[in-house]
Amino acid sequence: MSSDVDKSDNDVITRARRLLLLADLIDNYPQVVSRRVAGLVYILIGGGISFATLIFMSLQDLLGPGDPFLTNIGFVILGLVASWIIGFRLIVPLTRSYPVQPSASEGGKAASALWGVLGTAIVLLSLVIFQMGLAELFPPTLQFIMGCGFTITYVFGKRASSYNFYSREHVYFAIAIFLSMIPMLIVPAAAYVVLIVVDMGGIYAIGIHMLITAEGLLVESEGQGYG
Amino acid sequence: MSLDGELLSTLVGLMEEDSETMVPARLSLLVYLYFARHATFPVLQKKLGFTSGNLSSHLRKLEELGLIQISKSFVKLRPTTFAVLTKEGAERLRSQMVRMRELVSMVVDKETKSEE
Repeated sequence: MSSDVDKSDNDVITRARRLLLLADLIDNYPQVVSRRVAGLVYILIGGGISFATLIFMSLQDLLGPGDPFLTNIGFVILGLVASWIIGFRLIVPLTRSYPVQPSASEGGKAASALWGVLGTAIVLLSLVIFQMGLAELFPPTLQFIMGCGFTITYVFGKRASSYNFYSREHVYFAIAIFLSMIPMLIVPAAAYVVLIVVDMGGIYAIGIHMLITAEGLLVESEGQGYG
Repeated sequence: MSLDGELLSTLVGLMEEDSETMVPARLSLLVYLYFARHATFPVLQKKLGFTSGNLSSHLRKLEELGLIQISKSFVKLRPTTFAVLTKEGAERLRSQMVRMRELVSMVVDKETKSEE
């Protein structure tokens, strides 16, 4: 009789633990979705920039400087912006289906505002640098701004999420960007090659890593509700 | 294992408060749609093992509560019913599960301590 009661108690405890696990999975799933979407956004940005750069270089070789080149570049930029708008409209709503914790939502808004400011800073600085005839300073300056941007994105991500590794890849990317400034300053001729390899490679790596490790958040959550 | 009065009354309160969704069939539908985002009527029937009448009535009730959206469209020339979890549905399910987790973890904790 006593063993039957113990067995029944153990069954209840096992079921309760399953329920806790399910509750954990449900609680953490929005973060998995947002991580997947963030990964897709990075890949979309990387792909768009790579494609635009390829077209830009091909047009430069074919048309040379002048009006036809500028007109074609205008169409490339227009196409890139249109494809990004369509792409983002398709993937970003995936996150809106799930409840977002206020801290995560604030973190996301702060990161968007930060990249808006940094994007403007990049455009203004590039205008100033090229007008002053200091073109060789553009790649390291761009790297410095990007490095600061990804470091601050990491800080926002860490504050907005209870998971330490939620945005850890951003800080690794920021370190790689800061380190890439050294070869750029030593060998200015290779600056753009280093810029493309580090930045584009990094953006793709972050995107793919975020997609692959999104499910890891669920594994991490296992047992959290066990008290 | 024994549930004390306070815990039991909180659990009963939670179930009464959300009596419309605290039905195993509706809860399983919401949980499935939470992870899948959307599903067709035959998929839900097959995965959750409902009869078509049973599934229809639960889906209609969840739609009335604003927790899911039901739409019909043609797939391969055949009319198909789609069910999509709304944001309110996701929020409701998540808050219910978090509250249930709090209650159940209290019981599990208590049980673990008493075993020690």
